[in-house]
Amino acid sequence: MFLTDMGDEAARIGFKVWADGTVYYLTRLKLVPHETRVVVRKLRDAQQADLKGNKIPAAATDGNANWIRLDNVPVMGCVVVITRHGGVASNYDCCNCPCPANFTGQLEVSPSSVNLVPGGTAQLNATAVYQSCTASLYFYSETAVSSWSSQSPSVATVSAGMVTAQNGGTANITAAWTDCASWYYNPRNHPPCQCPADTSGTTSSAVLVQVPTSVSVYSDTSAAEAKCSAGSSTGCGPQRDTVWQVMDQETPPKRIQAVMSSYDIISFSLTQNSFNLNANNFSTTCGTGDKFSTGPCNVFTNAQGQTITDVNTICSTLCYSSGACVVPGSNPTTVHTQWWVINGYEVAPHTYTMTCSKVLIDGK
Amino acid sequence: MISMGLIALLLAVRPFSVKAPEQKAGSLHGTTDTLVDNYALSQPDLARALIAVSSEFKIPMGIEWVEPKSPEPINLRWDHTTVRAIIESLVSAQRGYELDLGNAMVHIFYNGARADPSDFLNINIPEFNLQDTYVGLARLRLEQIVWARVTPPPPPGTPISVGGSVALDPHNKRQDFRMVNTNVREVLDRLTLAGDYKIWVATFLQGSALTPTGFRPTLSVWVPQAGPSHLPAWDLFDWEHSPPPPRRAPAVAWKGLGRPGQLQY
Repeated sequence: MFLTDMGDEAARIGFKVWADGTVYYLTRLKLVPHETRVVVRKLRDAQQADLKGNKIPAAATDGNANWIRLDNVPVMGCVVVITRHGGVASNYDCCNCPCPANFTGQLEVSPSSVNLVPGGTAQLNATAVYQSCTASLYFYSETAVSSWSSQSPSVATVSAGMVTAQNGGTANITAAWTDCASWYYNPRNHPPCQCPADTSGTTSSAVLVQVPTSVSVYSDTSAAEAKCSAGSSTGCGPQRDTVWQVMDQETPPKRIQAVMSSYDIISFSLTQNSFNLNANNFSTTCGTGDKFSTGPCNVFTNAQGQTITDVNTICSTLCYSSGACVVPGSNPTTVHTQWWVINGYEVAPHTYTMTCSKVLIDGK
Repeated sequence: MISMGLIALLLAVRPFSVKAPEQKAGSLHGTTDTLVDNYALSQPDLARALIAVSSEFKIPMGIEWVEPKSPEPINLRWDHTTVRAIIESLVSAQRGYELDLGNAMVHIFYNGARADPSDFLNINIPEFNLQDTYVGLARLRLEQIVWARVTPPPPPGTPISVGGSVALDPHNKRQDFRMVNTNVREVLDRLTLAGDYKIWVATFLQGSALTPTGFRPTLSVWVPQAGPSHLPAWDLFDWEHSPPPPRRAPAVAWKGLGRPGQLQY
């Protein structure tokens, strides 16, 4: 199918295809002056989803296509049917609506809500709904040209639909678009299509900016005291594997589902440290020694906002005697506090109590 | 508006695709011989340049470099060459470095590193045994072995404790292997090939005195300044994320963390 802009201005085209029971909308077709474009075959072969998530079936060989002008610019359309063996078979052109489609005043913004972390960005899309003289609906993306505004710029700013999260909170992002509400046709006028009145459409999308505030246990397993290597010596100790879910500042807290940098900071108790753990014999996510309790170091949560498995373990000769694991009567204990630093935000800490037999988190 | 039925859609002509030659597991030859039309590199120092090449061409790499006090930026461009030639010319342009294109990893190291007793990577490890162990935990175990060797031995009878709060590799790969009469470098290689981090970097400090136990001081590229621990450090990188920019201040003085209730050391 060929479309040609016969005017001296750019022409937006509303376009849809029916094939094998599927309706596919093209929302960004725009011809520059005097441009001719081949449409349908490329659409099918590209297999890109439209705003409704539909694709033209890859195996489609016939169907039905409708198009309409959205600007008052002359456009010619024709269809050339070519058979593999017969060359050019036929050529069609027709026209039902003399004027461009009318803007219904309906503007769809997608997604309707989005969650971001400070510094994160998301592209919102504004799609205007048009109606032809035969009451057929068309959609056209007006993202780049809509008027965008943020109700709370301190929370999130917006430019051409691109939202940038600033600080924690909720911001309504609004898009506004104005176009002709009802074209009037009179062949005696020049031009014959005239627009007596515009109409506007506005729609908002809710943006929640989530600040990492706490972590909650997502999964948790414990291994009982067992033999292990304490440097070059044999020792014993327990192990606890925890996956943490990063939560936001809301009440109740909501999960933050985003890839975020993460590392932990450990602070040992000054009064309960029987194992004499310190920066040189206890490793944090980013390492030991100079790297103890530092970060970031290219460790990230997964896309669901969960830390990769946090293994808390201790191995001590204090827990090993006569070739076996023991729990001495003195019950050696080290208490430390762990803070996760998520995307630069230090979240609420947890207290670990490590003994020969178990690792407790907040006493549990 | 035009409405029409029976639109014949022309059949598409699919472009030919070229299948890359299959590479044997653990072999670098297929990768380093890959032809490169053109490649430009602009990095602030040697280590970051090598990390960029490793990431671009997916080559596991071990880097032992001496961080100069005033690094010279690397701005190079290659046309119609191979990955191997890129690495060779990059290393040969740096005075005092050697290149080892091994079977599974590329190593770049300062001259004499492999015979240097003050290089912690040469510390002998009689046995490194993993049984169904996560790679991340193996990294912790290797740290503890090195720590035990580079710190003065405690008086007999002194309790020894080690521990950690360690984030595992993202995909939690478990490993079974046993290495005997090996060294830190070889264990690092093995863990690098087994895990998600495909580059290890040991950064030695230029012109620094040996540690009290006779080792060349190292400093993580993530740490702005050297601390008092004298524990050897190495950094791991995947192929997706870049290292931090070079530190600006000289890597000498140390400042305590000073967190409330924290045991100072």
